[in-house]
Amino acid sequence: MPHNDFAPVIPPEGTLRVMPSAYIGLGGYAKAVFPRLDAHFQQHYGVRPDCLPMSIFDFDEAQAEVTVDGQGFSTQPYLRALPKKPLLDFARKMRGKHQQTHAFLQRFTPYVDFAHVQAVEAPGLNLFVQSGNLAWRLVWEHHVLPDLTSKLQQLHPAPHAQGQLERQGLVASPRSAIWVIAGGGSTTGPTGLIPMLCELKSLKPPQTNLFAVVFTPAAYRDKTTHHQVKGRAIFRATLTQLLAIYDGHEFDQPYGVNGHRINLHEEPFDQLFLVDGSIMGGRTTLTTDDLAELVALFLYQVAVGPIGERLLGLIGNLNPDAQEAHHAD
Amino acid sequence: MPTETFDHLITFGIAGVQVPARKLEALLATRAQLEVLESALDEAEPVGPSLAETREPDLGKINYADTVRGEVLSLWQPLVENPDAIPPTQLLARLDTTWTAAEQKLGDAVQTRAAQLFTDRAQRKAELLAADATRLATEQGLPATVRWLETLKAACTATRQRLGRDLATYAGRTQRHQEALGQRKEDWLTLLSSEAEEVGEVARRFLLLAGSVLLAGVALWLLDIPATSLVGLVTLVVFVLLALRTARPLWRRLRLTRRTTVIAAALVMAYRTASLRNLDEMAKRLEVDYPETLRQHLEQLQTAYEARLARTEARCTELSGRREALQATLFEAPPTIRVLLHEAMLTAWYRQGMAQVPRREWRQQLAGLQAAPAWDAMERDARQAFAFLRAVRAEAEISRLYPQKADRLLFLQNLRDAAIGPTPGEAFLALDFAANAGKPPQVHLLVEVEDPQTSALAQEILQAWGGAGVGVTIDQAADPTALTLIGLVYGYALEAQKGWEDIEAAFATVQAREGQSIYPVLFPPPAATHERPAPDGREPAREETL
Repeated sequence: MPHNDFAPVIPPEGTLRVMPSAYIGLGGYAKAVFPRLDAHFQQHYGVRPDCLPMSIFDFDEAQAEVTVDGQGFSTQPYLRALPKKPLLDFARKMRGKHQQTHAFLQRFTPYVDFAHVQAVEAPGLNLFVQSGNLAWRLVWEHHVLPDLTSKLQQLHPAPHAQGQLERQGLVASPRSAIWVIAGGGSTTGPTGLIPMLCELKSLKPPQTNLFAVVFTPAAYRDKTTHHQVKGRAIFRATLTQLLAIYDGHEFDQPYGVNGHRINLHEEPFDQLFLVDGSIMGGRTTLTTDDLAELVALFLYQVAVGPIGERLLGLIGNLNPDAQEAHHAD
Repeated sequence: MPTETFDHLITFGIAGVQVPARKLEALLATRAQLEVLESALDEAEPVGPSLAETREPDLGKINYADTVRGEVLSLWQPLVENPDAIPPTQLLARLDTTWTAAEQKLGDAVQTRAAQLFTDRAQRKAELLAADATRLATEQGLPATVRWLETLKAACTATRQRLGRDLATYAGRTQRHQEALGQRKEDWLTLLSSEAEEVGEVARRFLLLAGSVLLAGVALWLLDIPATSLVGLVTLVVFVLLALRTARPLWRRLRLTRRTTVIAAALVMAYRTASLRNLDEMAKRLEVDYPETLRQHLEQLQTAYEARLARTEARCTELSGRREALQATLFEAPPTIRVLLHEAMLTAWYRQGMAQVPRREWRQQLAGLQAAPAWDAMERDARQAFAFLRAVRAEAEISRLYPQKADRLLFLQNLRDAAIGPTPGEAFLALDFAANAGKPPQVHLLVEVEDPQTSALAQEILQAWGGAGVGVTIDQAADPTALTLIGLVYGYALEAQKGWEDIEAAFATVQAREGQSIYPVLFPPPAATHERPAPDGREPAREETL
């Protein structure tokens, strides 16, 4: 965690609020948002509390960094660079009609369209959707699941950890949230979004809200026409699948080389935030950096102030599960 | 795909005003540090004392008359006062013994001790100069101090050259005294040898005279010649004359003794002078080394100040870079966030903070070489001095900027438009309300103020915006230097996104080309799935698309 020059903003009563929240980023857009969010937290609290864990999963190991008030904030502490090698190995062996490979991959049939799996020696998944579909399954068990499990444990601090937080001047809210931030018009985000939401929904404590922030294709203003067209198609396909699960379609799929399956029989999220970076109904547009900053500012406000709980209250009115959990609290 | 609103599709907008208190705190703290550091780097000409005007250490006055010189003098003094007390034949040996004793007084141990005195003196002098340098650096800056030390070094070099010339003079004088001493010794030896010859002659003549008188007396007695006879008288006269002639060397001998005394005294003085000249030359030689030793101390001091100067300049460069970065981004914010900052207030705040900055202490830290400047502590002090900025409240700044309620509300309306749009529902996602199943999305506005209970602005907002189809909630801000409006828009159809037709067209094109592979996850054939009925027992609202 980078050193922070700033002292925390201590209110007159001497305590700071925090709503435990886990932030899971998928792909490149998260790399624009998270360092800014991290900067907000560190400026507010002095250091980012453990109950605000972050992880970015990406098949591109490039780091991102922003400078805020002369201080650099990098994704390095929480970027989990997913290895592309398993995908490349399988893709090569599939091309070579390797019998054992085909036998091994049978476990992912019919969940992956192997005919469209392509892998190129370049960072990321390069708009090859089935490559992403397979790549996540190959790395999930060893590189994603353990990190998710670990992060979720920090959401509801044990009593002794609560005491420690209080000694640090922090008052933790009984509410908590998980935010999944993903691009909707690329590959890593859309192909990881559905299994991520389903996995988190199964793993999370019942009183924790699960939200997704998805950047629509209109947010990809600086991409090529080919990317934008393919991105729109991927976005449409992704949301179709996701809303199908929300509407009752069971999600039960293999995500692991050792038999791990993600199984969900309920809605995969509480709220799905869509943003395209336009304001005033599309009369003005935000740059990628400005949009990332505003998303970070929104997430920050929700975590640090009473407005977060107010927001959950409002959203809870929309969500019977959350409402019940709220009443149970 | 059916057009249907969906309550769990949501978007947000965020707008607000912000007094960049933290950035200002960092900027003004940086400026304050720079102001002090730059004053320490002032290039003014030094106004400091010359080397001669600087203080001397207590042990700096090394007086050889009182110490070594006094001891040497005390050795020679008895000889000088009474040279006759020593037999002439022993005088030279005695003088040589005393010379040896005097030389021992100037031996290696003594010279080492004397040299140490000079070394100590240079060390103490250097400490005094270091204190003077610290004072000068505090008052006139580091470059002036470096230049002042350069002038002192030049003075040391000049002094050394002058002392070198003096030493050459001393050496010449010592040489002359040695030569004179040699001459005196030669004269003395000559004197001593001539005196010995005179004594032998006198003795020989007296023996002859005595023998002659004896023979003449025996002859007169044998011949029975009375002494009063003519022969006797003649003989007496002859012997008287012979006696007079024989006694002449004796008279000369008496005169010689006085000359010996004079020459002996001169010899003693020559010895003493030569001995003291040796001492003085040695002292001068040590004195010549002193300015060089002092110059070396000054060199070290100057090097240390040059290093301090370089480090301070580097820190200045670092702070300047930070200041430029902060200055450049002071008003930087996303388009929906307005930065509130008045130039006049900035000046006033800087003045207020500077009054708290321990400038004198910082200057002393920069000037003192005992420890490196505590940059981190300075940073903390500076931040502390400007920490009052955190008490600046966004609401107060809005009221200061827009004293009239109508103007305030107009300003806030702009923020509201940025958060939820001029037509409520236009947050950070462009929606086509006409495509939203014929009903507008729900809109809620969360407004963060410092204290919802007492905020006049909150009351104005509720009066102006409440009950207009938009839910308004006022809540407490986590950061009172900001006022934030968060808009929530929910319950819209996926297809209500502007540009949805482009999305559908792209999907149709790609799906035609790639088939089901466009889907990020594939579901098994419908027979294999276990579709979950809706809680109310109805069929799911959406049709599976695969």
